[in-house]
Amino acid sequence: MKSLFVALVLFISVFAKLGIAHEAHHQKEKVEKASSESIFNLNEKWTTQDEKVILLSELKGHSSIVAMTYTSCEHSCPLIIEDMKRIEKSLAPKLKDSTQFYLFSLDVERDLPQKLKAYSLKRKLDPTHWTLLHGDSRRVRELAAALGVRFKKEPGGDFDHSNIITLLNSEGTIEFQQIGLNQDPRELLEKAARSLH
Amino acid sequence: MILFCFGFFSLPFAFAFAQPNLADLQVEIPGGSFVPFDLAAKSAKQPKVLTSRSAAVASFSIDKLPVTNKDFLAFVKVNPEWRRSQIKKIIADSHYLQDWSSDLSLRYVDAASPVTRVSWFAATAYCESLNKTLPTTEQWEYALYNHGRQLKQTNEKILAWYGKPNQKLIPHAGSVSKNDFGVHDLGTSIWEWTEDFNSFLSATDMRSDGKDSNLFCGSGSQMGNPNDYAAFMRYSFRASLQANYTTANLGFRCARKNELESAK
Repeated sequence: MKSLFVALVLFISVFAKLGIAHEAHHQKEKVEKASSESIFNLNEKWTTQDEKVILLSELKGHSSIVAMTYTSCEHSCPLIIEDMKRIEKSLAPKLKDSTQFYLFSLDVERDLPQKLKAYSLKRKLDPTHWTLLHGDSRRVRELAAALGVRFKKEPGGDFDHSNIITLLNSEGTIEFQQIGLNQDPRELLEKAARSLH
Repeated sequence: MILFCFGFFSLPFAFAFAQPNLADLQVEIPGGSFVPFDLAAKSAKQPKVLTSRSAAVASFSIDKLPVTNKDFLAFVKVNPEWRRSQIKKIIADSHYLQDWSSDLSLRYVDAASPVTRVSWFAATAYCESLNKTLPTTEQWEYALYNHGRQLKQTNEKILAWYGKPNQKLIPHAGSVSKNDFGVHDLGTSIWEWTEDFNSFLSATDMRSDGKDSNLFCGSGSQMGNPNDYAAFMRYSFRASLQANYTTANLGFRCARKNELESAK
């Protein structure tokens, strides 16, 4: 009887261990899956409005609100920025500290860092939270492809482009995309709050 | 005797050139202009009249053949990060090179057939490894346009391909069609990636603006030349893609800017 009991305890503990191991394995798989979907895999160089060269992976460790725009855009881009500012204002203080805003320029030729700097001042973008970035055409095409942003340069130098605001989590995975202009940011804010936990 | 010697020694060379590796060969496409499908539009007042813009295309070179399984295998052998087991999901979806039997084995596919189940990122990296690029949509369509020669026959071939059920085995690269530029299989054997497949089309972004998701078909058919169903299908197909997608009949070929053009 006693040996049966010991066997039973052994049996249970072995299974419990297996269960834990399985859980750990599952967790590891989940982490690997996340990093495989991360845009940090496109680890390329960009230049900020302050002429600092950064790698995409430097967006790691905080949530990011990302859009692709250009500074001479008169209609849709200011609206995208207004939408992003609305998100910025609506973030809970704790979230605000751990969230950064990024504008990647579609206009490789004209939006050099100095121009981005002037634009960020004109649009009153808080430099502690906002970064404007310039990259070469290959990088722009690649990032747009990864974010599902479609764009086309028109003969006059303007761009037709999708209006998409992307929420990236701290691992660089897309958590949510707000599509279109003047959208209610509620869903994005909920997702941002959840991704912090 | 001299003649004999010459004949004897040239024999191996003759063999070497008898079957050149066509995949390495590009053809130069002279510059010109044409009306791409997305710049063709109906007049608002007279629906039967096309109000089209033409596009100027600078001369460029393009691969005669789509990239084959064999070509792509050589690439992944040298670049382990592009092997099936190493690929990240954001770079290519889980069907990447699915038809190969393993990382470096082509057992279930034909080495001489076009490689498919490759993402835009993979196609781009392949071309860059050879100091080439993917052709732009305009370049690709211009190569197909073929100076307006044999338009009807080409379109018939393309429509015949659309009508066929998906082939289990894709015909050998170069075996399906050839146009007067000397480019093979354009639009008649597989779909092909272009550098700017994610170009903005008014029709697709009717969707992304969230105005009315049901508008896509309607607005799509307003775009472009209504008489060119074959092109409508190509533009719609490209618009449906994401950069990490891989499908059973989507491959690619590479292009290169003409040296003189790029020096300008």
